[in-house]
This record gives sequence, C-alpha cells and structure tokens, in this order.
Amino acid sequence: MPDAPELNTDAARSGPGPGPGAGRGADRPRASVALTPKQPTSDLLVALGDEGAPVEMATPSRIAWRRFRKNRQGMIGLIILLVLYTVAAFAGFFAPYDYADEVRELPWAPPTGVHFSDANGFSWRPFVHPIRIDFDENFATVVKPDESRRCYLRFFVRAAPYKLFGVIPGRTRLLGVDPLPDGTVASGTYYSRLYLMGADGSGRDIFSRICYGSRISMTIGLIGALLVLVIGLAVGGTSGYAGGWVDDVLQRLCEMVMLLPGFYLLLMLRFMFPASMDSTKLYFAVVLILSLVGWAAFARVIRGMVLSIRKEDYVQAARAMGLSHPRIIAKHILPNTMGYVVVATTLRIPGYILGESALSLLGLGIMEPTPSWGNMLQKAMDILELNQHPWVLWPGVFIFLAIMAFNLVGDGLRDAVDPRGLATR
Amino acid sequence: MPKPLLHVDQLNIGFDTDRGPIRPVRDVSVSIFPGQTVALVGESGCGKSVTAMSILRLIPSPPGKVLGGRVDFDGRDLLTLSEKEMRSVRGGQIAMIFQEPMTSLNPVYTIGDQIAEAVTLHQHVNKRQGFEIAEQSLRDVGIADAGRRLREYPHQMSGGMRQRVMIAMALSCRPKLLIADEPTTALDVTIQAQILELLRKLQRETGMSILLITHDLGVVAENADVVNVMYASRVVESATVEELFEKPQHPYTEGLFRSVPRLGGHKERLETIPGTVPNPARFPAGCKFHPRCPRTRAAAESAGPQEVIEIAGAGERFKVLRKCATDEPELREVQTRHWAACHLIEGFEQSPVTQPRLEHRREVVPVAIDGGAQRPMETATTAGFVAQTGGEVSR
Repeated sequence: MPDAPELNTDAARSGPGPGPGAGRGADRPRASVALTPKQPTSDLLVALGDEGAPVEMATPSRIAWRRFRKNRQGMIGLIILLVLYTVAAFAGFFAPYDYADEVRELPWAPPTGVHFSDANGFSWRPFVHPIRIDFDENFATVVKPDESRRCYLRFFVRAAPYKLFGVIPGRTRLLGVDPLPDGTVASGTYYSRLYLMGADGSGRDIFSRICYGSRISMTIGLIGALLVLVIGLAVGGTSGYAGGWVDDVLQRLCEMVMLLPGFYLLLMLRFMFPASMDSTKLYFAVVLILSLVGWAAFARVIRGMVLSIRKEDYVQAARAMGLSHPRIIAKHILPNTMGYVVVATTLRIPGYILGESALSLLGLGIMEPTPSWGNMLQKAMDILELNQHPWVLWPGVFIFLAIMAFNLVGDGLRDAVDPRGLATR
Repeated sequence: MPKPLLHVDQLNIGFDTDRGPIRPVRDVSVSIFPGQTVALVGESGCGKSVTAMSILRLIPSPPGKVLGGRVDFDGRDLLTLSEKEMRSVRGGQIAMIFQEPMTSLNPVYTIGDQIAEAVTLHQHVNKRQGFEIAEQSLRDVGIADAGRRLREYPHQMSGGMRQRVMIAMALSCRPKLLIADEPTTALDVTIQAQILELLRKLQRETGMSILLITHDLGVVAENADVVNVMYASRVVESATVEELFEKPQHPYTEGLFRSVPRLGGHKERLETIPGTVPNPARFPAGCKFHPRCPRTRAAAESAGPQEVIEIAGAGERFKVLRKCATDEPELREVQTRHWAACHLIEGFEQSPVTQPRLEHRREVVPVAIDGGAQRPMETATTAGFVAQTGGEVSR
C-alpha cells in the first residue's frame, strides 16, 4: 500500500471532481507522503504537522450502526419490527382472508389446529380438520372440527382479491386451505376455514384482521411520531434559536398543552371531529390528534438542546460565513440534535400505538369493520367473553410485541448514538 | 492618498446587561489598507473581539447595539446594509477565523461539505465545483491528500489541522479581509508558528488584508504591520509595529512588554501589570488605566498636593495625579505616525487629536528591539523553528 505509484494518486486527484460520495478512497494510498519532490518547499510545514487520519471513513451514522449491531436486544427488536412492518405492507398477502370476510355460522370459532397426523396416519403436507356444525342430544349447536376429514394447507393460493398499498391488485395469498373433499361439499354444515388465531363474534379470522390491523396500528405510531418530529423541531428550533419574546410565546403555548392530562386532551380533541367518519379520514384525524398531544414535551427538549448548540463556535462560524438564520437552524443546529431525536422518536412511537389503541378501544378511534389492534381488543373488554374465547386477546399480544420491539430498538439506538461514544475513533 | 479597505470610524457598542448598560467598545477607530495586517492587542475583556464581531455585525442584538460610528468597507458603511446584503459580505468579502479550531467545525458534516457550503453560498457554482474549490483550498493551506481529507469529519483531525481547515474555508471565497480572532491561542507553539506562516504566505499570494486579534505580542511582532493596543474598550495606542516595539508610549503598552518572558532575562518572576482589566460595568472615571498605572503613581510622588488624589486600587491606597483620575485622555498623535492616549506623555496636550491612519507595510521582522522591550520569547521560537526546518520567514 505505501508503495502505491505516485502517478496513480495524481490521476485520482485530478479526476473529475471527487464529490462527497465519489470512491471511498479504498484504492488510494493511505497517507500521501508530504515530502514528495512535487510539493513546493513552503509546504514543508505539512510534513511537520498532523498525524495521519484513520484509514476507515467513519461517518457518525456508520459508527452508530456498528455499535447498534452489537446490541443483541436492539437487533431482536429490529427484527421483530421488520417482520411486523413487512406484514403491514403486504397484509393482503399474509392474511388468508379479507378482514371483512364473515362466516356468521361460526362465531367465536376456536383456533384451528394445523396437523401433520391424525387417526388416518401421517402426512407430509400439513392439514386442518374442517369444522362441522352439529346438534347434540340436547339439540344445542356443537361446533367442532371433524377429525375424520382433512383439508390440506396450501401456499400461494389464489383467493379473495386485495389491493397492495391500496393500488396494486392481487389475488395470491400466502396461506389457504383446500375446500372440502369431494362428496361432502353438499352437506352445508362443514366449513373448511383456517382460523390460526380463532375467529371473532362474526366468524371473521382474527389472524387476518391482525394482519390488516397492523397496517393501521404500525403506521399510526410512525406517522404520528414523524408529525411530532416536524412540529417539535420547528417549534423547538425556532424557540431556542430566536429567544426573546418568540421563545416566551412558544414556551407558554407548550406549557398550556402540557398542562392538560394527555388522555383528556386526546378525548377533547377527538370530539372536535365528527363522531363517525370514513375510515381514511378517521385514520388521519387520529394521527393528528395523537401528534397534537405529544409535540409539546418534545419541542421543549429540542429547545433546550438548541439553546446550548446555538452558542457553539461552529454556529458562530456559520454566521460569519454568511449563512442565513433558517439555514443555520436547519443545517447546523438541528442535525446536531439528531442523536437524541432518533432515540426519542423511537421511544415515543409505542405511546402513539397505545394512544390509538386506547381511542379505538373506547370506540372513538378506527371504526369497525376496519380492523385495528385497538378496536379488536374491544371484544376483550367483557370478562365473560374473554373467559370463553381467550383468543380475542391476540391483538394485545401484537401490541405488546410491537411496543417491546420499539423500546428495545430505542434503547439500542440510545447506546449507539451516545455522543461520548462518537468522539472516540 | 489611497483609501483604506476598512475604516472603522468612532465605533461605539453598547450592551444592556442585568447590571445596567455597558460599553465594550468606545470610540474605536481602526484603518486597514489592502494587503495590510493590522493587530488589535489587549488583555481579555478589553473589547477587541467585540470590535471584530461588530465589523461583521455578529454581536447579538439585543442585548448589543451600535451606539454610533461607521464601519466603511470597500466604499459602503456596513452598519447600514440590510441583513441580506450583510450576509453576502460575511464569508464572501470578509471572512473570520476563530480561536477554537476544535469547536469551530460542525461535527456532523465532513470537511468538504462545510467548505463547499461556504463556496456555493458565495460563488455561483454547483455542488461539484464547490467540492473542487474546497479541495483546492485545502491544498492551498498545505493539507496533504486533500481529496481524502474532504471526506473526513472534524473529529478525525487534530487541532492544527482543523485550524487549517478553518482557514481554507475562510479563504475559499477569496475574501478581501480576514479577521483572525486569536487564531493561534488554542494551538501549541509549533503549530502556532505553522499557522502564522501559512497566513503570511496566503496573504502574499492573495493580497488580502488581515485584522489580527491577539494578546500575544510575539504574534504581533511576527505578523503585524500596524498595531492598535486596546484597553478597557478604547484604543490607547496605535503605531507601526516597529515604532511601537521600539518606543511604546502608553504605560499600558509598556506594561504589556514588561510582562512578556524574554531570553536572557535574569528575573525569577515575570513582571505583571497589577490589578485586572476593569469590569465594563464599573469603569473608573478618568483614564481607565490610572488605578493600575505606574507612571501616574511615580508622577504623583513629585507633584503638588492640589494635583494629587488618593485612590484605592489593587488592594492598597496610593496617590495618583488628579487629572488622570478625573479626565479621560483622548487618542492624540503624540509623535508623527504614533498615537497614544496618556496625559503623562510629554507634549500630550499640544498634540493634535486625529484618527490613526497608517498605510504601512513592514519590510523587516523586528527581531531585537533596544530600549523598551526585548525580543519576546515566542518570536524567537517562531523564527528559530521555521528557519531550522527550511521554511521561509518574510524578512
């Protein structure tokens, strides 16, 4: 490496403008020798000066990522999140049925067992038993799987149509079951349904609804947090940088918002919107409500950070270079809060997920039949129902998973972007 | 008569503080001609940095405000420009480098990003050309492997390297005036010498003017053409560097020279000026230096009782001349091309009150000065060091 031909270096240097991203310099000599004959003598100073810099280009985000990768809990959280968001993005593909697909005859159907063997022997293909509706000796309805029949599980089946991201039409779903074997279809009291996590009171597949519900529950927190991020950065940045009466006014505003207990504010804001709206509008209304509750505390922290950063020499230097105030805030001050912002946002998302769940649980959020994890849990509010059909708690499990994952990732990020860690090479 | 590039004319700056209004800059006049290096010297808190900041209109307002005066730069009064016009002056025509290279660069951007930002702001070039200019200016300040350094972050560089980057950034837009606010104070002596040599070299190449703010007389001796000594928010002495080092007139300047360590001195303790720079909120009446002034004390010994007043200062009571304690001297041209503000300079009352204006370029670095001060140690180190390593010193 040290013997890399000088010619090569010059070619690399005089090449067409090495932009910021142009070749990461792996093929260049590590430290060009300062005392080459080509250097003018007055550049001798160079040779006396500074030590060679580290070879690897360590951008702050790369350092953070490297540290994050070592954090096991953080990585687990990240993987959970990736899975959940993948499901949310391709809900139609992962859900066996449409979220509104009812089978009125099968209310509260228990989770369907997936088997590889039954009384008839072993099968390499997993199968389920069809559900049979029968009457017992007291003429009460009995809903139970008919263990003498098999409906094989199928992958990548063509089933009910859906639209990916709301636009791309699709019919292929990951899982499905065979219809009933020939000869028994006519009976009409057999149902071959795949209820991986049971069914709700209308015979809708809870797993499918969880898949569709994740679209709302997983994005509402993200969008809410991003909205808070924008409001908080704008208000906090302006407040901290401008100071004076601007700061006073904005801070009193923040305090007023913070004075009100969050949940009551949530309810109050909810009643500013009509009670029933179509689900898209309602979704955005909920996002808006959640972020209007959350921005104040965030803006205050940002203000505090800006207050200290604006006294930094590099801000003064940026002023002396002729940068305008908005540009200094946006380019030189706020990016220096990013470590905190990323962590705080990640740790805040669970709050918004819970907020949406709470609103929906009270019937003020996302409305049936559109599923969200929160409104699905409404069914679990009745202790008797819960006792008989404990599987209605599944959405709660997913809320728990999502929140835990966000917290794990947030904690991991906090360790990874620790500014004291950044300073070390 | 050629016009100065920058003429600060009777500048007055006020700050409203919790403890009442203060005046960190009072009637300060400074002229800088093209290609000249003008030093502003004084202890911490004497107002030199505020003067520099107010040239660029960077003093925070409120609490700071301009109470009077003009800052004529290149035919325009900077104090009357709009904020937008001022932004194109900052960085474009007047650039500034700061004392703390360790903190003057934004830690979240690469060196290249930061220089290119300045370049694209003031010159009509696209981002790629901006990076090319940035690379060139890194080379100009003697940074080896500029292309790679461009993509590095400030934390990957040493203090001397960062100050070079700051200089590269400041000079990337070819400013006519560079304000260097204690550019070497935070650096160790060998790096100091390199940075100063670099500034001289760049000045020769570009013909820019430099306003050098420092408290280091060694730096002044090496670099300045004209020196303004500030004390308690006023300029108390102004002369060419040779003249000032040879015949300092103001007792404060003399005190500064006495408190510089020098080679061959046999004293065990370095002399100091007793007391501290007065707090701008509680300036004494009369000459602001009289509570610390040895000259007025000596004169009071032999003066009549009506001319003397007893004061308390620096933890003791002593006699000073009444006029020093009541009457603030103006800056007068006490000798040809030498301004000072002290009642006790011979012929002071008869000297004309004029504004200092020296279009002087030094020919030779004053190495040894007879009489007043001797060669300051740092000068010796600087010169010796550069000579040893084959660098060149302008002399």
